[in-house]
Amino acid sequence: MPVTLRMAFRNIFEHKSKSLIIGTLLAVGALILVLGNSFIDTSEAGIKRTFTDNYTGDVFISGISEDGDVSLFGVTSPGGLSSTPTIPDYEKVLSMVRESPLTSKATGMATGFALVSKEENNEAPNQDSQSDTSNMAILFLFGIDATEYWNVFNSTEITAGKLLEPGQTGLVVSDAHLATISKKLGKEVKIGDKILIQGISSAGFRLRELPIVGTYHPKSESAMPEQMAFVDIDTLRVMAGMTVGANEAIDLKASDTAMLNTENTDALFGDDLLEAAPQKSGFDEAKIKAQLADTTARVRANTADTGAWQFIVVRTKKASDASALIKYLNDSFQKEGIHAVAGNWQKAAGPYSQSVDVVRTVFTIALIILAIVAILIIMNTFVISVIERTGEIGTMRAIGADKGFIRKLFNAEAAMLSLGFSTIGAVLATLVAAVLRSLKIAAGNTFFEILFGGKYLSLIVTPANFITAIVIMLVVGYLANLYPVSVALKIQPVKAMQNE
Amino acid sequence: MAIIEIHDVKKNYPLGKVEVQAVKGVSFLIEKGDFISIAGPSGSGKTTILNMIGLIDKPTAGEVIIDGKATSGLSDKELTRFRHEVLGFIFQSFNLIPVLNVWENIEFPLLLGKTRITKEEKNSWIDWLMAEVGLTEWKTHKPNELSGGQRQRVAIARALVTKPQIVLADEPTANLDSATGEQIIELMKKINRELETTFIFSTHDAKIVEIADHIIRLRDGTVTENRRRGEDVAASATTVEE
Repeated sequence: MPVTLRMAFRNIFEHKSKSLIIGTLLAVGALILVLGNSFIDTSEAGIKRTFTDNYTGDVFISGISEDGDVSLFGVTSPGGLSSTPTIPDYEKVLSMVRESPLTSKATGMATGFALVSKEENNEAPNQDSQSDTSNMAILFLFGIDATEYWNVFNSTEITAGKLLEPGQTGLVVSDAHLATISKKLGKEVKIGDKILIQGISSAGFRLRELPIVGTYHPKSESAMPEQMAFVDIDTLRVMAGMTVGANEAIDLKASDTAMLNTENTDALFGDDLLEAAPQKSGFDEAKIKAQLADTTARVRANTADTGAWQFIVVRTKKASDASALIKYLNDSFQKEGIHAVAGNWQKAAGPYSQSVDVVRTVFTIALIILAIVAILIIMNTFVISVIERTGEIGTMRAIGADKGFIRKLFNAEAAMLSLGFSTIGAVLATLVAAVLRSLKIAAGNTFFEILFGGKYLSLIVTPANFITAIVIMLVVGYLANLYPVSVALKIQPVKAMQNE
Repeated sequence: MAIIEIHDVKKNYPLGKVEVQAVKGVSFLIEKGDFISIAGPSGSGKTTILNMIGLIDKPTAGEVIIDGKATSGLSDKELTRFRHEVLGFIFQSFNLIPVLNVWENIEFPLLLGKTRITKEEKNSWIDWLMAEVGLTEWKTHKPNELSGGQRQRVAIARALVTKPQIVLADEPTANLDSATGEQIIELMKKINRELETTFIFSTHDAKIVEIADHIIRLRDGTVTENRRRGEDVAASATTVEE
């Protein structure tokens, strides 16, 4: 063993109290790092598994909105009022996806939100009713094509009733949420019962009465929100304003827009306006009836645009193929001038995946603060050690040790302490994780389900967590040792003569 | 032949706002193979002169020439190499490395330089030195398990392990009882004869001073006596003035 390592090893034992102070900090640092990173990784893996297995597949294709990023939950925009764009040239995009050798399965889908409430509340929410949500249940609707969807996602099992069948209208809700709906409505809702749901979208509020076709339960213990419900795509299209009349424009005459063009807002509420309004002589009842009898526009506004899809979700043959397929699709969209974009599950999960990023960022900031404090304490302890060994360092310099030898000696000590104690910390963290896993701590609510990446806290320490923590603590040890080493290097050989 | 030449060496130390002259223009020569004592009371400048000869401190003025080489212009790296190859040190407080045992302490200087010797050569040389200083049975002991005299013997062996031309000893007997101190000086003298290594030691013990072949006395940073054993004091005073 080189003399520097031998001396460094023995010095650690020679100065036990200082080694223990430094070592404890390094071990605790490694323990926090391993557990924290394991927690975040488990959470991220859980969310990833939940989303890729249940909602987003490996590749997620959407239209492009100028107002913000498009995810399963709509457009992330200020105020959240933007409508989710549909995929232009849907059939062409779908065939591009299916022709790729990397693709296993793909299907179109759309999403939306709806409320279920007691009948007396089934009117467009005003300010008061919006604040009273105690008897309302929220549904996050997945509009699906029943012929394809269940082939792509096989992660739910039917607990009662059945899955939606092709062409069937209705809802499949989670068994947990059916109980919530029953509670909110104040009556037991069973399979086959119809419930009135109120769709909320940028197109307005639409009411639909839909039968409960079945209830499901996620096959795996994943963080799947119970509010998620499957609905036939045409119902969702109507509720989300994806109708054939949605984009039609009505030509208005100059007299119809007279009031809109006024620049004097006071005049809108004065008598002048009434005087200026066109006065038609006579009331033609037949004409009014004829106008009301024409329901074409209303029918068109309630007829689903059967070619409209917000998303295409794709399962690749191997999960690792996702990046290559995303690149291929985005290149193809650009080449073909298609206003669509492909992304991974994180793009699809939007705010859900960002929640992990937020936790990771907060954890990282906390760690940086802890690391700075630890570095200062370790540095101070190393400096004391150097000062106490001034005579020894001076002696070594006097009898022929150059500065490089002194640097190596102190770096070896720091490296051994960092390596040894951070390994102890990482091993302890692995044991703590195993104990926590065996305790099966339940999440209890959706927030913790997302954080835990499942129904239970299931920390798994990966080799990457273990090694990363040790490497980071080695860097902490090295940084904390920079100043003490510079102090040691300034010690002159003449200090050997002052050794008492 | 002079192995060390000291020419008009001065050393000033700052002490608060004033400068203290520790050595005031000292000149002398030391012959190769000499056993020299630098004597004088506390504060006379003995240790300062030894530090400058040992290249662990630099003179404020003047020149220290060792083995024909002027040392004032040498870099830190060159000085380190010079100390390692040419000089050996014995300290008043022994200055052994506490985490190394006797054998390892003696071996330590050999691990620092660029010169490499075979393991067999190294082991036999260290074993010879250990036998010479009478510590063969103590080779695996740590410094804190040894007496003061034993520690100084280890220091002597360590100073000799690189086969230096010059060994500097700063008050090597100061922390020892008189009997042990005499034994240490006798040991140094024996090695001086056997290996022809130049030994320079500082002391204020009159009894030990007289064992030296060459005595340099200092007072208040100046040489008051510089004589070889057998020369009379009057002659030496003349030499100093010359």
